[in-house]
Amino acid sequence: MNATQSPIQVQNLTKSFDSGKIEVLRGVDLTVPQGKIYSVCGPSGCGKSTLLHIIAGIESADSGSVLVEGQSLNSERKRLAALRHTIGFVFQLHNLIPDLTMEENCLIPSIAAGMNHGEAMERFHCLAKKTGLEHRTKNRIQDLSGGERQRTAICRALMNSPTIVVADEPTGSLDEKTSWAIFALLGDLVVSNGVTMIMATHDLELANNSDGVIHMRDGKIA
Amino acid sequence: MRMASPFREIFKTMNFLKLALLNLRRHFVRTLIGAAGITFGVVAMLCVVTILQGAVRMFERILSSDSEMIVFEKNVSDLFFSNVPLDAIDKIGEHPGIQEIEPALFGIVSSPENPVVTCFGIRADSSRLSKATWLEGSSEKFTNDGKLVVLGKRAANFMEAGIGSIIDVGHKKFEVTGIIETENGFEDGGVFMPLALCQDYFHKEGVASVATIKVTDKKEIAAVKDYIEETYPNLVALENEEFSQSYSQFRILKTTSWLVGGIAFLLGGLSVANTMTLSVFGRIREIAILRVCGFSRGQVARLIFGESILVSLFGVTIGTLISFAVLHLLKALPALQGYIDTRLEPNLILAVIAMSFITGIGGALYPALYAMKIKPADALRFE
Repeated sequence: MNATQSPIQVQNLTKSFDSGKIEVLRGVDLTVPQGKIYSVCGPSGCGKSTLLHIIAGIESADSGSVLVEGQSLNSERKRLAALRHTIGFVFQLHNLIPDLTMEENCLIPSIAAGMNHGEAMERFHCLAKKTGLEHRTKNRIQDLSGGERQRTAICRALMNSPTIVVADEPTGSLDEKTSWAIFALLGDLVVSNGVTMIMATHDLELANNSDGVIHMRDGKIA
Repeated sequence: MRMASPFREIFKTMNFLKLALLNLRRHFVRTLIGAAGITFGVVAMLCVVTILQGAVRMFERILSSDSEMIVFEKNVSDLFFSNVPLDAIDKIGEHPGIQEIEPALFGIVSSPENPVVTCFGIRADSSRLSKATWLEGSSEKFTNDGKLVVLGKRAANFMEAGIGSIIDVGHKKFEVTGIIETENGFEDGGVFMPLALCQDYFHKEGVASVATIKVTDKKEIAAVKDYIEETYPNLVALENEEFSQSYSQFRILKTTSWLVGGIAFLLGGLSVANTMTLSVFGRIREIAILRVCGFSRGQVARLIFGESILVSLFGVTIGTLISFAVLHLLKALPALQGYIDTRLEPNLILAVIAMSFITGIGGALYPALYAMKIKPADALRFE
């Protein structure tokens, strides 16, 4: 694999909390090829979520570099641009705004990116159809099931047509059947849109169905 | 697809406004409480300023009475204490630049049964009578040396008097020869006496409180003013507007009205600040989600400012409507009838809207700064 063609390139990444007392990432290197789904596995506290947060630009690293689509995320402006146009993030606990409707939640990234409303609605309806939620668009999040909420989160992550999806245990709070359905949906959307995805998961069976698996232990690639 | 810049900005603003409105609707009770603070501030400000400035306007009209200048005694704190000699008034009236000069003596009489009665000592040819609408009687029997008085419409109502009635004004009784209606609440609640009778009643023989001057040409005002002040160093001659701005009673009333209104508004602003601060504290996770969805710190701040300004504008709209209702209610109250000028000045409304805008921005400063500092990863990890 040619690293220069990889949309996600991480080199010697370190991150610690509590003034350096807790080292979470200790020199992580990885690349994810274009259009592939990679899973990051490892026990709780091994640094999976922190790694994904840094790749997505939600958090900054102490040292090392992250290149997303060839762009270094070394400033807040670049991280913001990546979040708006390049990266879609899916959380384990979906992190939707409960008293907004499914549609309103999904439109938030389009407002941040300054997309016009008509264009955003067109994109939203297309995604709602693909995620099987076209009949739930006016429902509040609190009225949706766990699976529907996670599908809404996926829909929101894909609103601005990102080229990379970062998913932090997207099936972690779901039952087995729903987990597979969500994984299949993510896979379909990734393949059909040519998106690259990196996903943290505890589920080895799920991970083994992705294009590549990265094992982490104690803040390093095992 | 990217749009051309101006349209793109409009769409962005509209989407932001929609989101801000959505947030306010979601937290309806909080929004109402915030807006209520501004509403009370607006009502207090509009009512206090309107009532006090209305009173000032009425006083101004009483004093100026269709003239361009007013003459009174120098260094008096209140015009009721001013003494302008009648012979000086008559002498001043001979100046070629003066078309008309009218002396007026003011006095106030309290009565246990009736509201305060303002007495106006005027000459028979006074424009106060000729310009008024005569409801009963006529000016024929109101003579300079007569003992008959004319009542304003409201005074006639509360004194239950008509033509020929004998009324009690303080310690004396007077016969009514006419009833007039004027636009001025204080005049409408007053008693008009022949000047000599009024001087005798208030023990102010040979003097008036003020003299109002109508000039032949407005260009003459400066010359007339100089003439009066040079000839009578104890007197002051001012143009009406100049008088209105310099008269200490008016200044006190105007300053008080803006001060009381401003304090009320400040309290409203604190209510907005409190509401927005609580709103941000209660939405830390939500703001973190917005940041993860691509909102910049600036966009988060704009959203908070937008919400705050919308709350303020909502408050100012409701407050203005309530103020209209309250002022009309006050005007209709029998006890206050005529004493309140309820016209809401457009400039005052504009000032209140501007203040609500500033309050909205001021109230959102701290919450917006706090929201801008929220770190999405920390907020999502710990909230």
